[in-house]
Amino acid sequence: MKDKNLGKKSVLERESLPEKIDIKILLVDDRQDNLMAIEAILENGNYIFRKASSGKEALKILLKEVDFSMILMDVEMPDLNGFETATMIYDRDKLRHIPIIFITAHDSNLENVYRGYKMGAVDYISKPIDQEMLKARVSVFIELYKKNFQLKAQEQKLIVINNELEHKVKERTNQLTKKNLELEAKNLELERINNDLDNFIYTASHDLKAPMANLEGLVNMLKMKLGAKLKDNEQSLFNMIGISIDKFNNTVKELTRITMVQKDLEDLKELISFQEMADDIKMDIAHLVNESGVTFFEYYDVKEIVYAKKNLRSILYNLITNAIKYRSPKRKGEVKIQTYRRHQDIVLSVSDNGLGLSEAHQAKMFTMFKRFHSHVEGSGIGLYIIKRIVENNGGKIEMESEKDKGTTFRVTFGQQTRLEKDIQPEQDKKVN
Amino acid sequence: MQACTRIQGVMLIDDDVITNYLNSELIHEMNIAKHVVVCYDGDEAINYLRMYQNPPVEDKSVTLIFLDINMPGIDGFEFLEQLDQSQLLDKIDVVLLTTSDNPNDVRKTEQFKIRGYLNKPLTAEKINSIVDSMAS
Repeated sequence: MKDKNLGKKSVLERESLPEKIDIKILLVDDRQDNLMAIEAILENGNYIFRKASSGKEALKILLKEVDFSMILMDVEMPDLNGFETATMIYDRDKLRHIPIIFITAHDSNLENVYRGYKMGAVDYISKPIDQEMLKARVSVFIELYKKNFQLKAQEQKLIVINNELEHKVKERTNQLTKKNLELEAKNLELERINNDLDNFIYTASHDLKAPMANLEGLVNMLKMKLGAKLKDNEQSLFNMIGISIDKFNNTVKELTRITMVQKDLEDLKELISFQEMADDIKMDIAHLVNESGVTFFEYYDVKEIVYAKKNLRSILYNLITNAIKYRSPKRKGEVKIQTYRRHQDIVLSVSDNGLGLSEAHQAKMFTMFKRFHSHVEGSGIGLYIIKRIVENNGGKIEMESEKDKGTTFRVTFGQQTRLEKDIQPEQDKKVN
Repeated sequence: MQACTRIQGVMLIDDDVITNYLNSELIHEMNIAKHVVVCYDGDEAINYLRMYQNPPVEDKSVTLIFLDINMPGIDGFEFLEQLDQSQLLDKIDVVLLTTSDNPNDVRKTEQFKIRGYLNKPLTAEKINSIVDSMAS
């Protein structure tokens, strides 16, 4: 039973080493004594023998069993001779790989030998049989057979491994494709939400401002109609109403700026001087600078940057006004503005010696509407906006702060802020 | 406070009742126009103008329009388009009055020949500057 299954079962299913394979040999000879003699000679080889006394019988056996390692066949047999039998054996695909050694009479002519080789027979032994020769030849072919068998086994293993790999790759690819589709869907969803938010902000800002504009107009009208009848204290009430309305309008305006920043509507980039920009801003907030009495220290290692002017102005304006607003009443205010290069990037830092923030507050620094010092004016949107400006342009903003010591904001601008000529000297330095 | 120029007629187009009240009251107080026409939507305004503007009818026609952008039905831009198609935009000064910060809105008005673009609310100063620019 064991030998019958050999070769039919998958090679991989059998855990046995290829060395232990059973070797089956088919002996074909019309004379019983010859069969016995050959079997006796090869007895020590641990082979399994099947014996057929005619070509017909051999074919019959080969109908049921195809797992022979070798066929030893007499050429001269009645009815079907060895060559005819071999022709019929090799007609079947399943048997074509089995080597046949023909045994023929010593005096047989060369024509027979050639015929034998043409058949595909691998060897040829003449009678009377030389025992050692037969043993040696059979063992050579059996070794070949074993090697072949091992190769096939390896091939089978490789095919299985290959299939497994392909299967795994396919599975992974499917998973990735699925994940990708999910991401795309999420992305679309986010874009849609973002658009909705923008529209919402514009609509909300319009709806908020329309009644406020009316209120402003109505107050103006009332003031105009009352005219000279207004007393001083009543006049100051009107002024306060006016200030409140202005504050409301500014907050709404800043809110809509958030969406503008995001859409990069002001994205016209140009070469800007830090020094000029800072001077311009200081001029704008001259009253705040004078009133606070702060001193500026400015060090511009990097003179210029390519950026959207409005955006750089927003950044610097916010950082400078923050530095002044949150000054400490205990000491004279100092604001230090610096630009320099860290690695390839341009860095802008604005430091103050003001109130500073505790660590808990620092984490919430860049969120919308967060204000930590109630005595100071502000909508609380400023830092949020500039963080978005900086990040949308590929940079980052960090802060360091110590309570009652001061705060430093550091803006690292993105890669696209450098001009060609700006990069050149850097490379030259490296060469030198 | 009073402008030296007197305008034939002013039209106010806004869907908001208070805005219209305020603006017409302001114009009356300033005494700069012979008459003020108030319309609550673009359709009403277009119909009025088609009736009295071509040719201009004394005591009915207008030379200056204050126009709101966001209105139900025909909005400010559609109104401008229709006015342009009726060849009326050349003969009447239009000032857009808006609360919108949407930069797209400003951009959309650039294709029309209008007198100006003002943020609400309308004030005596703003009206004076418009009237002055019309006189020059």
